[in-house]
Amino acid sequence: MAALSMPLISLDWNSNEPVYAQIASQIRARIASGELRAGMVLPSVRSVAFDLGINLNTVARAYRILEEERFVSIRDRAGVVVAPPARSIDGSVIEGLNEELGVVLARMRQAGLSVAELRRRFEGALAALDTRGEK
Amino acid sequence: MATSAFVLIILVETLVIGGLPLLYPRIARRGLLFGVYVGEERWDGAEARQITRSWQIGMILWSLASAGLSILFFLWYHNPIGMAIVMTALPLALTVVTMAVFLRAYYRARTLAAPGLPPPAVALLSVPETPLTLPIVVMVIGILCGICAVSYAAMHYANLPARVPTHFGPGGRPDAWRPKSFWTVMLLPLLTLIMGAGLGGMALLVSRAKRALRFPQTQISVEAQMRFRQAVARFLCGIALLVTAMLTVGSVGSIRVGLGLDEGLPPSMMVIGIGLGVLAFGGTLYLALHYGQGGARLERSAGNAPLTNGLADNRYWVLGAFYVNRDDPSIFVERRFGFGYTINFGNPKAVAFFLGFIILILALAVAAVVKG
Repeated sequence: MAALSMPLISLDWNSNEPVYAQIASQIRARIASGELRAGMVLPSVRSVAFDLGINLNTVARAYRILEEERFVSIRDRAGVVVAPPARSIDGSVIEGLNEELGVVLARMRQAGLSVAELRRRFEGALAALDTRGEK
Repeated sequence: MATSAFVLIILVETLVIGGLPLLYPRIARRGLLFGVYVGEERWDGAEARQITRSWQIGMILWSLASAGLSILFFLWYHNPIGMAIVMTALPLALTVVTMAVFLRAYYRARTLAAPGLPPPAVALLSVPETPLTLPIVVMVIGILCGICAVSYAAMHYANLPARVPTHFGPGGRPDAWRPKSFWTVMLLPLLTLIMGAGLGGMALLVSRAKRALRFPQTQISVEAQMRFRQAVARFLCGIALLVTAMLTVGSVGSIRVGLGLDEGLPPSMMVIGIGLGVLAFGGTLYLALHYGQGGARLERSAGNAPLTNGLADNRYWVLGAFYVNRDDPSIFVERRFGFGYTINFGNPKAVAFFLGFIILILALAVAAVVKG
């Protein structure tokens, strides 16, 4: 059998993050890192629910969130497809993401990281994103 | 039948029902101990080995005791009725023994169950699925053969005599007749249709069965599991084709005997029957020993990584044998103990498929006896 390139989602049952959010955030991260490229077809709601042993609605909710955020587009026949990056900036989406970034930064600050440490991590994450995107 | 031949049958039966399960520790998935996920490290521990040894001793002793008692009973009650009693009681006793010894091992294994929540569940985002073409073709062939058998019986129903053959001896010659009725004529053709569609459907569902992978080292376990699943699906397709062929030949053959066109069933039916027996027994043994439980023998180094998904989740397994997860849309899932697949008893569709199949076959048998 040919070598398989295998992006996957793993659900941590111990996490406080809801299951649908775990699915959405992991797919988002894989799209951002270039592991999932524009045009790739994601498995159906049923297939993901089969593997994880969770309700169809939970997976559907994760896909809907990703669609609202324009990471994927849900087409009837083709299924769930990774969307290309938007050509024009959508103000409302950017605003929403900016809000999330603020929450993440505040939580990291609350966890005890200094502003300098935050800046270092932020730049590290950006550099990693750039490197992966160039692959 | 000579006493020695009957004793030989008893011993072979004991070896097949009570002895074959002893192969299980050789094919078992790392981490699963008698229907309980105990984690990969504990699976290798002294306590786990002790439970396995005790299970093996229990199986051997109780199986031999069942066989010994059967032989003694038969020597004491040496007549055809005694033979019939032993032939019915021994498989039942061996089944009860297998279940009882398993349950003891299961309850002991539960004390080793991995504490806390199960390891992560894993879903693959881009892996080719097992091809469905063969199972679909087999299911269509099964349905077509069933329709042909039913049509052939319906076409000739009016021309059949008042009494039709309902049982055939080892040489294919009829040895029992009953008055003609819808059920005596249509039983076999309808059974052909149900079995053809049902067994093909089973192969189709196995091709889409739930994936229980390891994480990390997921890639090796995906390859192992895909090869295993495809092999089991092909095996089931072979069984489905042979069962369909045997029942179709039997259906058409018995109508022809009833019409007086043939004296007995064609010899090909016996050849197919023998082929079916060889494939069912040999194929299961080969798949189990070559692939192991769920492809476990192909996992090699990846076998040390934790199991995931339904198999690793003790919350959803009742008595280590029944997977009951109402949220999970899966129909077929890998068995936790033994070899092959079971259904998700928490999924109404899976229960409907399973019960529907069993009820249809039972209903046909009951209708044939009561109305035939």
